[in-house]
Amino acid sequence: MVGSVGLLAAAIAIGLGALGAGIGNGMIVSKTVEGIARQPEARGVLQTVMFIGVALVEALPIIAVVVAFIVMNK
Amino acid sequence: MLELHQIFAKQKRMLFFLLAFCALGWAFTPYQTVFAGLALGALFGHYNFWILVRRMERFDRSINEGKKVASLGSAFRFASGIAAVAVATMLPKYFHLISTVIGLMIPYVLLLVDRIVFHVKYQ
Repeated sequence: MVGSVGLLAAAIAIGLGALGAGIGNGMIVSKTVEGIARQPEARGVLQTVMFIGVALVEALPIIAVVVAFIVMNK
Repeated sequence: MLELHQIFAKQKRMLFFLLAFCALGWAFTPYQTVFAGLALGALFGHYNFWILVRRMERFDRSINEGKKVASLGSAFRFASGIAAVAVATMLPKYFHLISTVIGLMIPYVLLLVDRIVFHVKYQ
């Protein structure tokens, strides 16, 4: 099993990954809602862009979580 | 919302091609664990993508009805990534760990490539 430093590394990886994803997702969603409120006819386009943004923002934290899980099980 | 479903349908089609490629690689090359890991990762990655599409639909409905949106399902996606890696670590005889992680990211890469092609074509 992993030592305490490994656990700390896993925790930092997950924490920082989630922090980045949280900030990124929050900004994307807030700007999309703002854009929809300003221009309701552009809703479909904005939501598609938001979907792609959220998907790409979340790729990195998923990798962080996976790496942390691998580190914890070494 | 139509475009969302179009993107998802395109992803599904590409996933089937990828799975067919993995099956061929699994059957005819000595790298069976690598191709099995890629297929496993791609399946879980696609599940992630499906969750995202579902949550986006819910987000759309919530905006329509003026309700609050609880979450975009990040925890589910993290958990499914962990599930894929857990399967690969439990069965190292059948699945290669690194290729499973690479497979997990395949839908995102396909999405990015698809959008780049779309922009080059139409804008």
